[in-house]
Order: sequence, then C-alpha cells, then structure tokens
Amino acid sequence: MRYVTLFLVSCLLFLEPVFGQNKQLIYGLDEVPQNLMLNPGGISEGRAFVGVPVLSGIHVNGGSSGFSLFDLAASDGQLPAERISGLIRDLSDKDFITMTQQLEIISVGWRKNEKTFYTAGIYQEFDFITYFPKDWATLAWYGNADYLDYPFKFDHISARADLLSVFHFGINKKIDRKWTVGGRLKLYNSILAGSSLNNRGSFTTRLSDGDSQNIYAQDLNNANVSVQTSGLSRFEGNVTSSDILSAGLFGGDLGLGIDVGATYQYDDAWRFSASILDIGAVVHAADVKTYQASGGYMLEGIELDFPALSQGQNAPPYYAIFENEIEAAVPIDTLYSAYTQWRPVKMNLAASYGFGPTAPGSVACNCSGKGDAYKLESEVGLQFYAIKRPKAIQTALSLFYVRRLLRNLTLKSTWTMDALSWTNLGLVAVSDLGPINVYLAADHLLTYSNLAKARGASIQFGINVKLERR
Amino acid sequence: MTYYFMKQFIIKVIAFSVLVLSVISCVKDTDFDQFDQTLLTPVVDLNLIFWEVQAPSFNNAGGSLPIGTVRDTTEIRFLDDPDTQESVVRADFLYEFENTSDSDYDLVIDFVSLSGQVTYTLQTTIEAGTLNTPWQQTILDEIIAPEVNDITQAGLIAISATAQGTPPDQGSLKMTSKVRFYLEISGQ
Repeated sequence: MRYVTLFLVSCLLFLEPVFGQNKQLIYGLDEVPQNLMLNPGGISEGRAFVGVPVLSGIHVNGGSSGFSLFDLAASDGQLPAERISGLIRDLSDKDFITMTQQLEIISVGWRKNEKTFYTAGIYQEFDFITYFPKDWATLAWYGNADYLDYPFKFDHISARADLLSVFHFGINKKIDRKWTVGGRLKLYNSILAGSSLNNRGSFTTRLSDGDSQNIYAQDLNNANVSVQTSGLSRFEGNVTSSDILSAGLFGGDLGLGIDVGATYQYDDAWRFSASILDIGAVVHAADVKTYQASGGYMLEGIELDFPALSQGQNAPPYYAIFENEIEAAVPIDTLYSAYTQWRPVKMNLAASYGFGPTAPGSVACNCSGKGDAYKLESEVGLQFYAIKRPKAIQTALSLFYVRRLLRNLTLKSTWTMDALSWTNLGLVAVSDLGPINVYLAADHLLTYSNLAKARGASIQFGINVKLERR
Repeated sequence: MTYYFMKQFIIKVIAFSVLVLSVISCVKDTDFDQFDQTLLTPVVDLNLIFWEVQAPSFNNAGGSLPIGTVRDTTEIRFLDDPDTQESVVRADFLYEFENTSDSDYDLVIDFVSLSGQVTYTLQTTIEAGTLNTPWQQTILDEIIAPEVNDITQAGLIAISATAQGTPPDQGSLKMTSKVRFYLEISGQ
C-alpha cells in the first residue's frame, strides 16, 4: 500500500514538471481553513484555527490572455520586430495582463458551538489589470501614415491597480444537515489606487474633405481621457516603515463590502455550493487626484497671415496661438473631488460528487443517514469562477478531482479553462502534521518546465494551526 | 511509529516537490537583450503650415518689405526637440500650391535655427494662373540622413514669396503642407 501511495503521489505531483495553483484549487477544499475566505458558507472543520501570521495565506498570480514571455522574447532567430508586429496584429483590446497578490497578516477562526463558526482577520491585497491598448500600440509601432481614416480609440486605454488592506469578520452557520450558509463583513482600507477607465473618443487622420483648410483633417474627436489616483502622495519623499504601517492600518480611504455563500449537501455524495465575494466599494476621499483631458480639436496645422510688418516688428506668435487653441479645446484639468470605486466582484459555483470508501480517518459509515454527510475518499466536480473586470466579466471553468490519500494528506487537481489558457492543470497538496496544517498549490503545471511559455502562473501557500473538535 | 513514518514521508514528498520545482521551473529559450537592438520605426504624418495671400497684399507699401514681396515666420518648436533630433531619420515635406493670380512667384522656404541661422532652404517658382484656371503645383521634398539633421536643428520656418514683374491685383497664392516623419526609436 505504501508503494502504491508513493506511486500515486509521484504521478500526480510530477505529472509535468510540477507545481502550480489557482484559487479554484482551494475553493471547496474543507481541509484548508482558507476555503472559508472563498466561500463563507463553506464547510468548517475543527474547533478553531490560527493562521501563522503572514504565512497563513500567500497568493501570487499573474498572467496574460494573449501572449507569453516566449511569444515576446523567444530566442528562435526571428527578428524581435517581426514578433512584436505579429503580437500587435493578433492581440485585441480585450486581451489583458493581470497580476494579483494577497498576503494574510492575521487569520483566525473559532467555533462558537456545533453550528456556528466565526472567522476574522486582516489581509493585504494588490490587484492590477491592464488591457492591451491595441490602437495606441499600433500608432506607436507603425505611426499613422498607413492608417488614414482609421480612428485610434481612447477606450483601448483601460487599466486599474489597487493596493489595500482588508479587515474582515465572518459567520459560518450550519442550518441543518443539508444547508450551510455564511457571510462576511469587510472593511477595505485603500492604501494606493490608480485607474484609467471608461475613456472615450478617437483620433483620426484623413484627407481633408473641406473640413480642414490643410491637406489632412486630423480630428481629435470627443476625447475624454482620465487617470484617477488616490494615496500617491503617501509614497512621495522619504517613506518610512511607520508611514506604510499607518497607511495599512486605517490610514487610507475606507470602504465596505460583504461576501456571502452557501453550501447545499444534497446527500453523502452530491454537494453544491456558491459564493459571491467583494460586493462593496471604496470611497476615495483623501489624497485624490484625477487628471482629465476632454474635448475635441481639428488639427489643421499652423496658419500664416503674412501681415505687413514694420521694421523691427515680430511675426505673430503663431505657434503659441496654436498651442493655446489646443489647450483651450482640450483642457487638461486636475480634480480633487472624491470618487467611489466598486471592488471587482467575484462569483464561485461548484457541484461535486463524492465516491469510493470513506476518507481515511473519517467515520466509516453514516449509518443512520441523519448525521452530517460523511467524507468520501474521492470527489469529482465542476467549478465555475467569474470576476467582473473593467471591460468584461472574465470566467473560468474547472474540472476537479480530490483524493484523500492518507489520513493527513489530501490532493486536489484541476483542469481549468479560462482566458489565459485552455490547458491549465493545477494541483494542491494539503497535509495536517499534527495540529499544523500546511497547503501548497500551484497551477499551469504543464508549463513549469519553461515558465516563459506560460500564459499565467499562480502559487498559493499557507500554514495554520488547527485545533480538532474535542 | 506508523504515524512517525507517515509524517516523515509527507515531509519528504513536499520537500522533494519543492526541490524539483525549484530545479525544473525556469524561464528558458528567451532572450530579452535582443530588445536592446529593437527599433520602433513609426511613420507619422502631420499637417504643417497653410496660408493664402490675396493679391493686394503684394502691393502693400506699408511694411518693411519691398513691393511685390510677402514674408512670414513661425516657430516649429517640436522640430529642434532633442527627441525629434535623435529619432527622425527622414522627413518628406509635401507642399501643394494653388495660384489664381496672373503673376509668377519666387518662393523660398527657409528652416532657421533659433539663433537665426538658416539650416535648410527650399526654393521654387510658382507659375501664374487665372481665377478660372488656377495653377496647381505639388512639391515633394524628401530629406534623408544626414541632411535631415539640417531640418531638426531648425526651430523656425520662414516663407517668402516674391511676385515676378508687376505685382498682381487680383487672385491669390495659396499653400498647404504636410510632413511625413520616418522615426527610429531605440529600445535602449
């Protein structure tokens, strides 16, 4: 048995040059206390847990929907200019680059009674997404000479970055043997935020058709471009660690949000669950700067008047007049008014089917059929994940398989299809070494032999101290 | 005892996994230094200067210029900008003229540095036309390196037109223009 186990572990762990993870790997995995962060209505185990400070939840995730580092910088003899041209041609303004990092600073959970479990903690999060500004990359790479009549659109510029700390308190309540529900209140403390969203307008060069007095009509049409920032001045000058600490502890802009979730245990085999996370917003009120340019202008060039000048008289300041006209037509303002930004709301859905014998270490039989559903050795299922991003809702579909190999070792593997990749294999290993709960998860395993070819990569790690029920 | 061995086994599996990962997960077959030699080569078209001088302006005796001559100057600050000087490798100037007056003109376009030194000159003659049959003329002046440096050292453009013979009393002389810059912007 020991050799069979070793073989299976080896096969799963080293299926491909190993390791990868995604939050879909933790979702619904009761053995990891952090699964309650993904579904406050998930199944809580044990009497209590305490995350090892700053080590209980480390999550890093990055990716690009349209290209990999290899696509960009392969050492295959092809001229880099050809490769960049190809990427600009193939990518669309819906392609994106994203980076997310989370660090649990404090994470605790404790059971009030058989039916109620509380969680609380603080975590820090950095989230960044930028869409590929196709039109402006095209303009920078090729220029406008071969793009007459083509409108270079400002809505291709779309990016957002948030650095915040989150204070949270959640309740997980078992209603009956089938239903478990939960909710979490979150207090957001935005440390730094920047975004350029909902831009509009365009710039077009076309041959004049009477609408311009010069050869071209170069039309900046109905432009409205803005960059919103908050918290930037906190990082100007000499920034000390106490400045960062105070910004992280209620020193930033505040916001409120909630997570809700539920699990329905249909029978011992079938389980369904759902959660919606980060329904909330941050009010950016202090240290806010919004840079905004709006208006329209027909760029005709400089018109000369040929005035009759006396000796010593200078020609009119045409260039200054030209600049002033542009500044008047498309003023660039700096605004200091507060603004509200919704958090990127996320949704998880899952259905799973358990089979096989009972999991190692669990009760052998739920013989009366009235107690809690008992844990089975294997589980397969489907998970759906969605997150609202500036231009669209991004989704992922995961097929997963959970295997409880030993009393203290659980593995979950996933095959995820999302905007980054259709061949994303992930694996998480969870182990209880006495009261110490350790998990390590990663995804995009197939590309670990050469991360340059990965469209994305993510890793998640945590250590908790779990107290079992008496 | 079994528990002890199991624990040892798990620790070894995880340690081995991390070890293997750290060894095999890598970024290879890529070369980011290649971008040091990569050039952005956009070709940018911009409107430049346009004007129309009515015939009576050539007969204006009030100015400092001789009768029959008009002249005007404008700053073109972006031309002598260090970034422009560094990246422009070729500039194609397109001038389109339309003459509805009955006079030929000697036309001079000077590119002048901010210190007043002429760095590049284009001279041409615009032939006479009539109100009903305008004379139309297009000049394409392609300037490549190293001569293009004469252009990018300029911060001013001065244009003068001189009527040959008796200045006209009707019609106008008109010019529109654009420039096509060929840029090379280094990745370094």
